[in-house]
Amino acid sequence: MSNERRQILEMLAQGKINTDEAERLLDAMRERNAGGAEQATTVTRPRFFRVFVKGEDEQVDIRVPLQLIRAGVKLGALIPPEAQAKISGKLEEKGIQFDLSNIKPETLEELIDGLSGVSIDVKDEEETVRVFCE
Amino acid sequence: MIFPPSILRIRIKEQDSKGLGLCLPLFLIWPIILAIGILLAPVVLLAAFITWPKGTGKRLLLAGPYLFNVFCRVRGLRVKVKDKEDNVYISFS
Repeated sequence: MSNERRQILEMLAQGKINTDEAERLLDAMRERNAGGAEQATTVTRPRFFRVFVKGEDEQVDIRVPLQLIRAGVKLGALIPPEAQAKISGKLEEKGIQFDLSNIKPETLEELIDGLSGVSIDVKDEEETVRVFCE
Repeated sequence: MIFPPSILRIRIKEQDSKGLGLCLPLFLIWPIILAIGILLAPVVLLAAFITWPKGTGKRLLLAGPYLFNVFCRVRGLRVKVKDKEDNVYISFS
């Protein structure tokens, strides 16, 4: 039994509300819960990854379809391990620690699901950076 | 059904110039891509068959469809870069 339902029944038992009022409250609670469930099922998945940077004089706005990232990861998985190691090595030489073999379609899906509710906003006096999914 | 991008819009504007605006009908190259795919298919199949024991055959076989998938998914990509002097806009739709 939910906490709210118990509270309504306790109020009824204590005589604070009558049966009609209790029924109305229970109906209202049921409707609200049904609406919430419906809302939860109709939540749309994000389609684009957006990076927006605004400086004093410049502005960059990039919108990448998430399907393109998925397709790119799938294509990247075809790169032979030896070539992946070479790419990672070259990237490391440039100071970028990025291992291509760590990106797998399954982990990417988890990442995208996690990103759907995330919005990164960084703002200072001169610049604004926003990274989000839409 | 996934379709490749049909229009590529490019706008480049520099401070002292009129700028350049292009609207490229990518759908016109769809038949060319299809023709290249059909022409290359037997070669890729043969190469995949030969290299199958080494393990690269499967990769070779999947590379074509995966590349085409990437090309299709480019639809919706948009890049806007603007500063005091220049303005660049690229969009696939």
